[in-house]
Amino acid sequence: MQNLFKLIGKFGFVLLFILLEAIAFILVVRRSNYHRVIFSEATSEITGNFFKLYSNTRDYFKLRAENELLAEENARLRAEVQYSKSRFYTTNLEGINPIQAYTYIPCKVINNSTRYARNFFTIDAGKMHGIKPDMGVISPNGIAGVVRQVSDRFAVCISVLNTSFPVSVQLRKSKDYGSLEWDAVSPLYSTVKYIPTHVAIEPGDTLETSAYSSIYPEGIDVGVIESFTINPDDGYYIIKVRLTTRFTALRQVYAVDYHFRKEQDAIEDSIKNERQ
Amino acid sequence: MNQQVFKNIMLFLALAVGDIVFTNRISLSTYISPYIYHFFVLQLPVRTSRNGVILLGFLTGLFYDLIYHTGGAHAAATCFLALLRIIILPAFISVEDKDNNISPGIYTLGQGSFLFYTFILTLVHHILFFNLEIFKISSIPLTLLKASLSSIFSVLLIYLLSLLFYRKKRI
Repeated sequence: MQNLFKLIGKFGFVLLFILLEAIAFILVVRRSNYHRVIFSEATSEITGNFFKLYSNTRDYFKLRAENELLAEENARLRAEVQYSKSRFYTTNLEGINPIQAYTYIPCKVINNSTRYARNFFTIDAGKMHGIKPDMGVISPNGIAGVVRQVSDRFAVCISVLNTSFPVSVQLRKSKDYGSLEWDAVSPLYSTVKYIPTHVAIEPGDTLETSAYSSIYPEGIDVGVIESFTINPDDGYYIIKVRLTTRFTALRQVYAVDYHFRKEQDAIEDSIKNERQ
Repeated sequence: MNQQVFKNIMLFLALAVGDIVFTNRISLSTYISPYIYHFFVLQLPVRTSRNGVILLGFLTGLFYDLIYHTGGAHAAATCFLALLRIIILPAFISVEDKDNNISPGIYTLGQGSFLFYTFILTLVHHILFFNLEIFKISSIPLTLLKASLSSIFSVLLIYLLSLLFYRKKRI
């Protein structure tokens, strides 16, 4: 017995190692439930406040670039407003009650990574600002991610640069849809799969968010086709896409609140039940 | 003793800041993603208890898992690094080093030994980390390449930082 204790005294660190390594492996495997287990709201608030302080100081050095980006977006939006105004004049709106479907909540990215296979970013808005899980997040030039976990003042979002977050996308000109799935190779590029080969595509074509996603409004920029090959196994294109959002310099973003999501989800779920 | 604890805490914080503002942001290439934070475990004083090294390794990794949302990949890799350190460090130090409770560094181990020691541990840490992070068998060849190239850069960074921040002790 005494020898046993001696042995444990000598090699106890191996037991400790096995125990801690087991905990770490469980965390790796249960990664999808991870936020609910470990990333409590308290830690979210602490790290969030720290990153906010850091990003505030960094902001001063990036003001010029950020201004240009926002000015660009302003110009684009101005053009769109002009366009939709002219459409309203030519359409008979009588009897139609226009309802706003989307609200955009402006927020800032305060912590971001692009070097992992599953990247996340933190924004400086939370429950208090109306952020809810599963809201889409877009940058001035394209899609950025989706809200995952919300605390009072912060929210952690899954980045488009995350191998476990596919996005439904479509070609702008033909509306054929496919799936954007990041391959963890470069933060500048992503891959689009499942667009059938009878669709004519060429480098330079734009991909946008599809109407089938309840995360983003239809028509938000995603990327531009860089090159493509055909997958011999399933006969679909594998398209290399240059992302329009610059993930290595993600700052100003907007969370998208889709007002009819509950209604859409409910009606879609009711059909699902009928099928079974 | 207290001074040593304080030094280690400061180093931990400095490496954390370095990781957040520097290594997290540089993207030289897809295959090069260096890390420096594990240097904290590499340089713990040689007389730190073995349980202590393991525990500190795990907690260091867990800290980075929490801020980058990487599950337990950092924790698993750094905890393994700690175990490996316990096994191989005796080969690099003398009885005298142990008596003096040195902290394994560029001047205490000597340049050659330090680079060798750092490279082996960094390589193992990176191989384990990149694989746990992607967690896909089909990616293993890619992660091996990535781990090797990244290790070279990580060791280079650690070497440069050691040259900058450590001073040769007069005996």
